[in-house]
Amino acid sequence: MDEDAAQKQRLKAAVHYTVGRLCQDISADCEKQITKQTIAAIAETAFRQCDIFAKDLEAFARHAKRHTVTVDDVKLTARRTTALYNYIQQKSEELALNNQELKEKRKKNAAKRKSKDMEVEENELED
Amino acid sequence: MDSTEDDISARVLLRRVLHTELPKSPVTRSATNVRRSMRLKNTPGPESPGSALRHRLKKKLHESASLSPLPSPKRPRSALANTNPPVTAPSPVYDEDMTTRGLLRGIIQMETEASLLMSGQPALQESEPNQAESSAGERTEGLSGVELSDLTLNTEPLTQVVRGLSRKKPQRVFSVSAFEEQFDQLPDNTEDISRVFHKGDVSQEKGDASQVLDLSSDSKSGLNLTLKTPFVEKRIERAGLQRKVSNRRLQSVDAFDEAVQRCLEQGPNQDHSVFQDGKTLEDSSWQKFTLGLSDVTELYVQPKKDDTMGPSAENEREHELERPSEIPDSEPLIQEEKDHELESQDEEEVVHSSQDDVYLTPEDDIVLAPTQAMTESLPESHDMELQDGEFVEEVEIGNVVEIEYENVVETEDQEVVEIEHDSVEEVEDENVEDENVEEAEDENVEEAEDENVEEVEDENVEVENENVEEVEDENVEDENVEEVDDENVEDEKVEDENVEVENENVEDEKVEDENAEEVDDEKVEDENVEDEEVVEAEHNIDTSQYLVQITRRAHRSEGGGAVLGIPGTARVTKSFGAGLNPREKDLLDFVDEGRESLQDIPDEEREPLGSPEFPPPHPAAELSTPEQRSQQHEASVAEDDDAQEELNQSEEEELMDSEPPNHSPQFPQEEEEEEDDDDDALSAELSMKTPAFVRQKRVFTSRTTQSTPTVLKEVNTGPAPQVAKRGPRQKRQTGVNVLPKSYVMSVFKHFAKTKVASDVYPAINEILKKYFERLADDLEAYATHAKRKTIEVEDFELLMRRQGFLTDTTPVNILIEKYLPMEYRKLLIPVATSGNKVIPKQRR
Repeated sequence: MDEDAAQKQRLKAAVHYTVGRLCQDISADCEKQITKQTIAAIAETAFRQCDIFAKDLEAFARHAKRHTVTVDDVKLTARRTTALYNYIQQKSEELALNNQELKEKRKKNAAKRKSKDMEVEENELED
Repeated sequence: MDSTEDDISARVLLRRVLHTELPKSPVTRSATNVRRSMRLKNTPGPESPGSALRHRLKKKLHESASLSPLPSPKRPRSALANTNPPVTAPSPVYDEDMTTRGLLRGIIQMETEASLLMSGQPALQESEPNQAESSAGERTEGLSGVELSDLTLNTEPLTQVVRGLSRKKPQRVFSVSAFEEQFDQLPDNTEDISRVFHKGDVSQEKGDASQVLDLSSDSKSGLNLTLKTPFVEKRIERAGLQRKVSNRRLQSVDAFDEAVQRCLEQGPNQDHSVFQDGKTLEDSSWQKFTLGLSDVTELYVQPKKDDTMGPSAENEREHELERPSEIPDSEPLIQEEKDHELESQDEEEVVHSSQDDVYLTPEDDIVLAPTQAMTESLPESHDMELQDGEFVEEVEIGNVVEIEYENVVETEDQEVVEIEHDSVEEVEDENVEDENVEEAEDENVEEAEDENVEEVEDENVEVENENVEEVEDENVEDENVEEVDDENVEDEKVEDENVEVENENVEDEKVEDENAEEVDDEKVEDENVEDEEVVEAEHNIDTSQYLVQITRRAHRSEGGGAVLGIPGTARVTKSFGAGLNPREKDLLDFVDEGRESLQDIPDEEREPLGSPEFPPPHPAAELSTPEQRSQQHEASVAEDDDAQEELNQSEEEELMDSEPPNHSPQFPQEEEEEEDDDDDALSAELSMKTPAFVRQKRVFTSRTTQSTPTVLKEVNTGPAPQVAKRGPRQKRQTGVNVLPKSYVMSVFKHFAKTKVASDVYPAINEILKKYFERLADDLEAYATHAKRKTIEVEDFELLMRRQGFLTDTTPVNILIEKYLPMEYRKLLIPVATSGNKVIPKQRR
């Protein structure tokens, strides 16, 4: 239990640090200052929201009778926020393309390897 | 000890007076002396003050008990008659006592009216010695068991009651202080005496003693004069006066006579019942009371009969007397009396009752009178019951109203539909646009599609409008074909449906053209052209498909539904009105309708290829076109109206996909789950209105697919012509309220801690719309996420989990048991007897 609490604290600290950095960038852009309380509130909210997201993702994955959380689950979670949803959509598509490319490459490689093997075998046989 | 002696003397005085007045109680010196002696014996001088107080209290209780119950009118009369002769009897006693007692006694004896009251009181007071006397015995019996304070309070004069007749009656606090004040104000000795007795109830002997002294002094000043104004004074006084007789005096003499006669007739039986068993009297009185009222009131009366403690047998008597004589008039009086009773009894209760009154007033007036009285007399716990009953009553009334509305709507279907169409078009377009906009964000292509969809929808709307004017048969056929096509299209979504869809659309168009007007054909053709363009864009097809499908299905369901011949609008309204109806009724109706619709749908679905050869639509589907169209319009347009409906539709869709019998139980479950998610009552009621709601749901689901993420886009495909036909039908009255205003406001007020103005209804309506829309959208997303086409129970469970209703510790069944009525629970949670006829095996 203590370990979990300690780990939680560390995670919270990490989130807080990240949020603080982001807020610094935003404040620089807006030329306005952001108080520490605000950063703390945002960090706490983000942390709790992550918890909720995790539970939802798990529920969605289970709902689809899967044991792994996939992009579809994430999309379902973010469907309400249009901007984020679009972003995720694009990213997922890019990833899909990359995956396809990778697969194609693998296939090619596999084919090459097979051909090579075949050649080798032929050569061997010939030999 | 002097005070004690004075108190005792006052009591004794009263007793003596009463005895003398009683016809059956021969008042003689010896008797009085005996009483005196008994009194004195009972109150030993050397007793400690505490014990003396106790004695006084007991005596006061007896006295008050004797005083409170109003003797039958006849009795007072008889008492009066009898009092006259025996007046002389106490005279010697009176002469003997020149104390305040004597004065009071003299006053009482002199005053006939007062004697009437006193006659009852002495009888009651002298329960011990005069128990033998029938009248006295009766009175005492009844009074002894009754709370004295209540009796006194109940007998507030009618005038006061009438004045205070209002929703929020001034809470009359029955407190000693009030009595004291009144005592000071009262010049009348008789009143004082009654108060004294009441005070005995309050256990303030000291105060009584002082007051009695004061009274006696006053009485001395104006013996005879003051005596004749007791009733007036009593009226001014509040709780102090329990003289129901005074109240009666307020009534007309004729009414009084009538009441008296009735009492005589009912006579001993009633009296016994009244005093012996307050409840019985109440029941009888209540029955009499309700005779003049509508039957509905009885519903409220009955459960409360037992509850209404006879605050005083006298009150009941009064009620009895009043009721037979003047039932309508007595109602307010009785209410008043009861109100007074309550007020005197318990301030809180009064407050609560007043609140209830406020609650009740908006409801039927007929029920108002009894309910008020009942609520007042009933404890708070019962008030809740009354409220529920009120709701039920409202529901009943709402049902009647709704039924009437439906009938009216039927007659005016076309007109309404046309109007609806116009409004629906706009709304629909807007809705479509909104949906399209959402999708457009995802992809640029969608924009073009959206435009096409909008156009298509516009055309559809137009077509629908025209169709409305067409012959019913044609519309029915068109709808059927469209539905068939829609179904076919759906099935072929996965494959390259475009071509097939187009073909089907063409076929449909052909069929439609045959039946539809030229305009429709043109539009269909145009739609086909657009469809070709749209075919590339799945969204358009999906929208059209779904719109058409929804409308079709709606029609089918309507056809299959029990509600035939009722226009869609009527159905919608019915559903709204039915919301007020008991959930059980709705559930049953809904189940029936759902099953019927289910039957229709599977038949249609079984023929995936939407060809003109599609079997003739469900015979029920051949409803009047305006009805169907109106339904379709409602279905197609009312996407936002009822999320539950949509959910139900989606549920139905799911059910349709699978065997209907299996889904029928699920259907209510889903609906119920939805209900759990939403307002329990609302959802249950809404779901009950299958046809309109189903259509709406289907439309909603179809439209939601348009707006759903790309996942659904792939799945959605539809023929263009279907969209065209669905246009006019799709006209849903999105401007229509999601739920009836009365129902929404009642529920809202129930949960609101403060008053709620009716101005909030539009805002609530919008919120409800969005909530239901979102709800259906989520459910659809969940179903799609699970790669299913129909919303299942697990989708609902997921939703509830997200909403926080469900946790790891509370399974769905617990929520069902907690919130849903028995009817729904039986459907959701399979029970041996749910839906089955259990014939127990007879054991020999």
